[in-house]
Amino acid sequence: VSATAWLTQFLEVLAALALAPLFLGWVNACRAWLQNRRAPSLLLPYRGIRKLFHKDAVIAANASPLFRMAPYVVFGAMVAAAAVIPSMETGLPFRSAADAIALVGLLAIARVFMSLAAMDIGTAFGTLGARREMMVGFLAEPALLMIIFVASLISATTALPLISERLAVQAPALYPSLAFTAVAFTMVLLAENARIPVDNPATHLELTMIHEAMLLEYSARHLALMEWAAALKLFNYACIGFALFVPWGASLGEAGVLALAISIPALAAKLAIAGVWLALLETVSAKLRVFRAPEFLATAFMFAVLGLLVHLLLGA
Amino acid sequence: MLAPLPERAVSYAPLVLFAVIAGVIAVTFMVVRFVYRRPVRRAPPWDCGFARLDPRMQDTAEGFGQPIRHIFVSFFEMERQLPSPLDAAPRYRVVVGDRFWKALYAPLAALVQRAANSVAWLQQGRISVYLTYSFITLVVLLAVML
Repeated sequence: VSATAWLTQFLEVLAALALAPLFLGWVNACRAWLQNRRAPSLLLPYRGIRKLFHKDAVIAANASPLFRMAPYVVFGAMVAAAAVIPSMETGLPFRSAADAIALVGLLAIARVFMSLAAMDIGTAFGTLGARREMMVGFLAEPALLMIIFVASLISATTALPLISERLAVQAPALYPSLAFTAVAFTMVLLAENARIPVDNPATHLELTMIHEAMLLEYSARHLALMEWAAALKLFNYACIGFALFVPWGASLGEAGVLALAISIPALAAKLAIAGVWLALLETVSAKLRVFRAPEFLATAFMFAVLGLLVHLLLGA
Repeated sequence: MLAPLPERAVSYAPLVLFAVIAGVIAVTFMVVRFVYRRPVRRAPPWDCGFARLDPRMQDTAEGFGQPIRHIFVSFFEMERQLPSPLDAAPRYRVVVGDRFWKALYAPLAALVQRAANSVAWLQQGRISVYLTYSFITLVVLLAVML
């Protein structure tokens, strides 16, 4: 592994940190346009995070050290996940540190800490949010793993950068199994990132909250880290999706500076399209009741299993 | 490993991963601590406008597991007594049983028990009987070998 590879790795993590709030802002702006509203500035998430960092923190009197530690752990897990996901370059030095299954585990660490912190204060809302988050989590995880299994069966590896590389260099053919898993992945992405059919990121109605209910007790820099981590999670999921289903454009295995230079606009274009697509999906669908969410995620799991069956039976 | 793949295709370095996470946490903590050094104030937790929160209102493990029971309702055997709003002394009681235990494992266990019981008559508890067993075994083995 060369020095340039390490530099690329570092740049990629920095890009994820810098672009994640912008991506969130873009999705929000597209949503606003689709709903005939005037869009907020694309930079609004940055301003929100900056504002929160400059405030005095208020935490509950009975908060334990876990509560203050959790934002750092959640943020750290998300950044580590961003280091493993090949958003621009597949020859990452960390690619052998964690394969796609470990990546799912990384996302689970963040979820567990977030839920623990939400239950730490002991108010009803935090626990309600934690309970619902775990419900969505344990239903979404099998679907996500099944999606990864399909992609890893096609490419004979579980390392995400290698999956991406092998799918990108294969003759451009239409894989029906990948088409099924792409649908499943989109559903998992919406559920895991507290987007509309399962949760509403803009909700102020307390009884329907999942993600926001867990963050109610956080303020200032802790909240800033949590929000940044949430933006990173959305960005990470989008990049997992690109790596699995549209791997073209990313620089393949230390291909040099030129390939890397091409990969940046490619990533930007993919993010822009993904943002429009997400906003469209969220605009045309209504929020489900909490106990309809299992059906939604069961459908995602079923699509992923269908993808697996199509691959195993038809080899396609 | 979990993945349906040969071992060598699966790559995972837990120590490196742990180091990366720990490193990121440390760097984030340092940056936040030194750049945004603001005081932390303690305040009572938000009470949703209900001023008399007490530990009895906390959610329980029962509540935390409720979605699983709700989603997989057909797998559980549940007996529930819910209080009505008019009860002077409200009482909540729930007994959760495992349907699989009754339908699958308990009959299996009973079957094994019955089989064991029926084999038990071999154990007569008399040394002469056991010596006979050994003798018969020896004869059979010799007959097979020769």
